[in-house]
Amino acid sequence: MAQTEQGGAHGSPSAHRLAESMVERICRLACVAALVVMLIIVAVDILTRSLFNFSFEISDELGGYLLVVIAFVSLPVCQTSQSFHRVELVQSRLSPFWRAVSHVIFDLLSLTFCALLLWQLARFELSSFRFGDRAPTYLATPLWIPQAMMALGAAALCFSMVRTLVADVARLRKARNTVEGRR
Amino acid sequence: MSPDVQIVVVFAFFLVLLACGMSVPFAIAVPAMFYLLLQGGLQSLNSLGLVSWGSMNSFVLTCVPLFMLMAEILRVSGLSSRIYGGLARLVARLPGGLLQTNIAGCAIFASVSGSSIATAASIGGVALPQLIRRNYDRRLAAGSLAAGGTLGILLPPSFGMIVYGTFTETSVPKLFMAGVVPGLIMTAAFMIYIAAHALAVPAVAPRESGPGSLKGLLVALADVLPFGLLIAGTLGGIYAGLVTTTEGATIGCCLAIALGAAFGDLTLHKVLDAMYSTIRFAGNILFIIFTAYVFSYAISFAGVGEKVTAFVVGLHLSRLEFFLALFILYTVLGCLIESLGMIVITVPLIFPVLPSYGIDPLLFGVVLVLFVELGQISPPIGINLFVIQSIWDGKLGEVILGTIPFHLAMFVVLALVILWPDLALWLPYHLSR
Repeated sequence: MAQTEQGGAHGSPSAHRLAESMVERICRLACVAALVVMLIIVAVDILTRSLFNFSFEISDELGGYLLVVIAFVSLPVCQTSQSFHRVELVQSRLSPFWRAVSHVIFDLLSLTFCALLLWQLARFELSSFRFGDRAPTYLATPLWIPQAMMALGAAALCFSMVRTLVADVARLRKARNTVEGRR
Repeated sequence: MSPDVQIVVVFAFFLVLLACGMSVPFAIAVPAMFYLLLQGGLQSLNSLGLVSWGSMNSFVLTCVPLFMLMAEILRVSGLSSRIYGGLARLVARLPGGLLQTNIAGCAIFASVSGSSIATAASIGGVALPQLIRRNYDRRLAAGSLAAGGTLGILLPPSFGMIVYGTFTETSVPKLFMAGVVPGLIMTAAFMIYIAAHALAVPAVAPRESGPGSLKGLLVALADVLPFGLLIAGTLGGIYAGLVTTTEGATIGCCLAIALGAAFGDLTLHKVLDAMYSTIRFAGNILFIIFTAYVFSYAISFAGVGEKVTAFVVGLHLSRLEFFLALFILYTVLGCLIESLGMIVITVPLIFPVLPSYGIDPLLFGVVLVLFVELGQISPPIGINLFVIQSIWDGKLGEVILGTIPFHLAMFVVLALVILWPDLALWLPYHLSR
């Protein structure tokens, strides 16, 4: 039977959580900080608007930036904690060896995507910095600052993907040795 | 390779990666990137930075992590146990006893959580041990919780509607309103089915006693009160047009923290736990949305959307035939693709066709969410089936069999909404500001 689940929390055959490294820990704390700041900014805006009929008019802009932080910087955290949804239609029927093979293939494909994404986000960031793009808002935020979070998140995701790949290759070697040992 | 073959190959690639067990966002992203490279080589990736920034720098989507945080705070503070206890005393006298409480509990929890997984897990975790201890029919108990959990994405707030609204630039508060009546009808349909089943086969549910006295009734109402306050505080402001969806979610988080501390056992440590879980859940959902934007960009880069629209319009289907075609499409997809993936992959292709059939975007949003609900309890990959199976000791087959009657109830509600669109549209067009 197939399985769609979050985080491999139910003993998924493909769930192999990695220990959290310094990079993922920093990312997790940065995301929590972004979440708290988001809450405070929006709450303060509601309060000042309701009580004093006054708005800072920055919550929409900053809320968007903080969402970018959460969306991209949380990726390495999700990757190492196996939080991405997956379908276990085929995985649950595979032998440990073929499961390990499939994981290495998935890791390589995912890493290629992450590397291309990082390349493009870094280009975008540099171009934004070079041209001095600013938000057309009251704050006139230099856009390279929030946009840097996308590139940083993608870089951290690449790091976590490499860690996942290394762990899955080690698992593949172990599975191959087990198969050869049986012969 | 001709453009028609290319899109078929890309969709096949996506389905193969998904079925083989690749993480859903990567299973969307890799074929999308492959498709872009097929279309225009490395040059076609040049807009990826702008697409990434444009898709995620969105104030509308800001409500996703905030609604998740609210649901997580309720879960860790133990308030979901309290509401179940209160509801058990209020509605357990109905035929079906605690099975009715499952549906009512799911409907109320759904009104403060946007996710069917959170709804099924929160109510199921509290309910299943009690149901099994009191000798309720296991199949019906599991089925009612799996199906009741799907109310999480129909009754507002709903992540499915937020994502649909973001992709199609449809008003999220109006979508929320459009989901209210169908959600209540679905809740009633589930409860009527349970009552009818319990009256026909009394052995499936023992008779329960109610609150017994006025004091008992007041205590039970007091247990339900925190959720009532939360729903009023969160959705009331959104519906009244006083606050945006994100602001409503922020008010909900603040209220959940206050109520969790006052009525539950919320501590600072638990709030941090809720935040860590929120980061993981939100990261997953936001990444799926992001990769879907990349997929959507690849489709528009190739000009496939226009071709699909021209093809579907060229079929000259009637409105009802169009819905029937959607029903078949989504029933098949629901068995293959995870719920959010189903929305984000199909909406960019189907949405442009809607004006040709005079279908209101709000109505389509509700119908789409109903299809997604069906997918969530459809084997082999219905997520709620696994959520319930993971919190009890029964077999998955029992959960699947238990949901079959609820499938039928969902078909009826779906047909009602398609035949009488006012069930969904009256509220947003008459009450929203």
